[in-house]
Amino acid sequence: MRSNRPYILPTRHGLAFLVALFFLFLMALAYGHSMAFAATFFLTSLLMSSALLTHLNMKDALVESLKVPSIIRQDQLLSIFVEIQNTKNKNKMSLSLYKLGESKLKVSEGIDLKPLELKKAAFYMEDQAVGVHHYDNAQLMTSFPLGLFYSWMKFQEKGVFYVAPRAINHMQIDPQAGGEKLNKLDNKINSHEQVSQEGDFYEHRHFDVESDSWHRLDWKAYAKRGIFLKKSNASPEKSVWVLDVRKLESLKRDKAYEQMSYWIEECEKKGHRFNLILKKTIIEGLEGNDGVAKALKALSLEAQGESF
Amino acid sequence: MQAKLKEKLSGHFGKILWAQLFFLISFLPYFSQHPMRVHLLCAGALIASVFFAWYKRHLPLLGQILIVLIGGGFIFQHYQTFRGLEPGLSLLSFLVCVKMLELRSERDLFIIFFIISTLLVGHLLNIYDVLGLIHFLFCLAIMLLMMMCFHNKKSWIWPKKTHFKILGLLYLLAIPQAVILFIFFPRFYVGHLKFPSVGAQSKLGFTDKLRPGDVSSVVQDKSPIFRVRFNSKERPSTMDLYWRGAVLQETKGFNWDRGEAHIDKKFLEYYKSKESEFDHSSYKVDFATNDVDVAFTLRQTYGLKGLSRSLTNIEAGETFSIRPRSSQKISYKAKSLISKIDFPKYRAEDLKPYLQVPDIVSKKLKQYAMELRQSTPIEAKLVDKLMERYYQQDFTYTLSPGTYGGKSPIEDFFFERRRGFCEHYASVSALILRLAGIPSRVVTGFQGGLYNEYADYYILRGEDAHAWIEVYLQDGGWVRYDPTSYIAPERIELGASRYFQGLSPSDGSFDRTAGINSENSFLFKARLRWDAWYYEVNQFVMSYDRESQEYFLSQVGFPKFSPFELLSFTFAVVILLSLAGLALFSLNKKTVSQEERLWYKLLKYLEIQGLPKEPYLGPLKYRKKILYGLSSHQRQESILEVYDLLVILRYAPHTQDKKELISRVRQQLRQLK
Repeated sequence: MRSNRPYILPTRHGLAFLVALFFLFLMALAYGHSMAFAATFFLTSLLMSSALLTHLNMKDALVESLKVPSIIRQDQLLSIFVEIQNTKNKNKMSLSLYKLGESKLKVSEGIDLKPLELKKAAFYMEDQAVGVHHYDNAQLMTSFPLGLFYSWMKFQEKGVFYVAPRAINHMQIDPQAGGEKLNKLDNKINSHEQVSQEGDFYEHRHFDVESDSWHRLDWKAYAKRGIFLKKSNASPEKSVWVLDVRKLESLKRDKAYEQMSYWIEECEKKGHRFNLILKKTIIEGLEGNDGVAKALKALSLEAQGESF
Repeated sequence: MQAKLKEKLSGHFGKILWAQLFFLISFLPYFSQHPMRVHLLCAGALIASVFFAWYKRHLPLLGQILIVLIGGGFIFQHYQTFRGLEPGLSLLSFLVCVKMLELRSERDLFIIFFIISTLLVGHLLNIYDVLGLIHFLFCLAIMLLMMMCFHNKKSWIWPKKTHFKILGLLYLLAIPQAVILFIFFPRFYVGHLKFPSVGAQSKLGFTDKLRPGDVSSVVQDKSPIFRVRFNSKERPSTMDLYWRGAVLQETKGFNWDRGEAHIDKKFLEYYKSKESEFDHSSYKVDFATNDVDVAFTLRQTYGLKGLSRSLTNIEAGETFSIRPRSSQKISYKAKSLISKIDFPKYRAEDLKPYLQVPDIVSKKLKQYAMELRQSTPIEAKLVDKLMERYYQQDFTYTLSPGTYGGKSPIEDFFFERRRGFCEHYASVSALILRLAGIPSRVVTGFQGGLYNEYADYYILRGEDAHAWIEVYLQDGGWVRYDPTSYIAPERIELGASRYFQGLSPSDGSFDRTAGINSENSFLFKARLRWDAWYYEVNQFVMSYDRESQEYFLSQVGFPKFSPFELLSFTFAVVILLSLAGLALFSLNKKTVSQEERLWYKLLKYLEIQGLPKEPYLGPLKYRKKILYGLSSHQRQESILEVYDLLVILRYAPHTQDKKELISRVRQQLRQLK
């Protein structure tokens, strides 16, 4: 199927209509009933005209831009913001975004476009599987005017969005009880927070090979411990929470990830810095919106079975 | 309260009301075709659905099933079957109303629309009338509007101007295609498909039996029963326009029934063989009612062909019955020999049923018949003598002769009171002739008809109903005699319409000019013009079969096609028409160019930034506005860069490297956002 070209097929109602028409036609043939012929031909013509209008309603509509949030939780609606342009000087009615990649969107009221109008609209997607979703196209759809046919058009739009597990507190405990308060004295394995000789507080954070500059790599730490860490200034008062999935072995896999999602949400709400320890991934020093997004991405990948 | 009502109307309750309104509009014209119990059941379900919708409640599934079973039972009890169009339509009407009880989603609404459209089509097939077609198109338009308004919407919205425009466009596109398909689509004969057939029941009242008062009650009805058009320019004379319906052979005095007479089918071949020797006329009959199963034809008829695959049967006395496949109105074509020709003689045993007389006949009547028999040996003269008695002895032709009871009602009529309608005269004449040993029978049907000069056809109305006799003469076969023509010759000469206009109901006197004057009135002529239009459209739409198609196409200059050639031609025309429509919509419209689109995008962006472009601002002044309107220097620079590029693209459209410029603008616009 080619992009930017409208395609058309009958809807379920349209198929039912076609079947009824077929029987009416058979009856007209069998009885030579003029009125049955007249009704059949008029309804057939109406059906064809309806298909033509549906097609024209789709034709010459363009998806100008499409914004998809990079990450959502499973119980959240994925809001997709689209800019649709009507390139004809004819009204267009009930256009809606129908599919993003292979994922279907929630059925919603379409938008009406005046001649040559460029309009922004939000469409929603719900109940997506946890994990990473790649899409390489978006489909615009309309079944206006009668809902007997639906016409759709593909647009090349590449992107990715992550669906993280829902945030549910299965353990019914305070995050402080589930998360472990990091103490630079009593946790030697995970402690990367140190005091420099000059007395400045700094902490070691996970070094991201792709995005972090090599200048920030702590070569001494690498020499001592064989892992890539970077130095980052830190305030001594701020506590760091360790959200460790290994401590949730009593829960089933899906529930454990939901619990982790809940703790991340709690950290976000309370403004805590946190470290995320998953089975295959450890991310340290997460904080703020970026940190939460990073954590949720890692969580969604891990929950889907891919490592970050 | 008003706000609450408004809220309700825009929600689920409004949906129910609109669906009900649509149902009523489509159902009301056919109200009389359904029994009272169906009306009551539908009304009950509709009221209940309004109640449930107002209080936002739903009837449980079990309740719905119970209602359907009970309602279905009532309908079955009335029709004694679910087979056939009429019980089917009653059941469907009831089911629509029940479905309203569970209307919740758009899907339910579509199902309701679907059932109502089926109902409409069913009624349309039943009514077989061009007015029904107009009603169908009107209802369809309402349904399409509602479908557009409900489409993808959670609540009802009032139709907007756009909806009406689209509806108009749909009809504008559909009607030419439908007309082309209707005219050119070949009418194949596929008689082997076995669909259930439902016979119409005769309700005219005198087509299989005759009781005193039967004809006179039909005569009171001025509505058309059928219309006839002769193919030849020379129409038979009024005196020959006796439309034979049923031949009644078994008598009990004034009461006559069909009985069991010998059915001879040889006459068809015989009359056909005489076609070249004698004057004949071919004609087409279209019924205005679907209550009749008798084919009214002129005498010496052959070549009867029912349209729409109707089934025709030969009945006793060279009459025909016709049964439609579904219960639509009947149309048929027939040929009749106009001149009276001889028919091979009947055997004595075949004529025996036509000599049957009841036991109750009085001695006086028998005596009269014997005297008549002895008065002349020539049968024809004998019959003439009886007929002459009617005008010689002051018999009165009246619609209200009173009832004849007692021990000898016939004697009372014939010898004493001498007041009667055509049925009385026909019954008594046939009986007397039988007593005189001449085989005779009563024929019921119509006589004459109102000629509509605007479209060259006859309208046969209830008032044209008539009864006469046929007498078997040894040297002439069955010969028609009409006692009425001896008592009230004006009835036959002027026709029923003019005759009854001139007849005074009080004293029975007749004014010849009254009927003629009324036919000259403006109103009468307007009614005839309307009827002519209605008849012509009906003729074209309702009777457009293979023969009509061939005739029409040859008249408009088409060569003779085989059905498959015609089919290919039809499809080619329809496809061409669709492509032309598509091209018309696609080519003749302004399309926004890429640079225009980007320009609108930038304007939209600047509008969001608080710098809308007023219509009076030219490109240079608007640039100044942007220059002074933006605080951030960096943003100002990048916006102005895009703006300048777009101005070049917009006002110097033949710029080289247009593609490169467009891609630069697009990139920078993206960065801006």
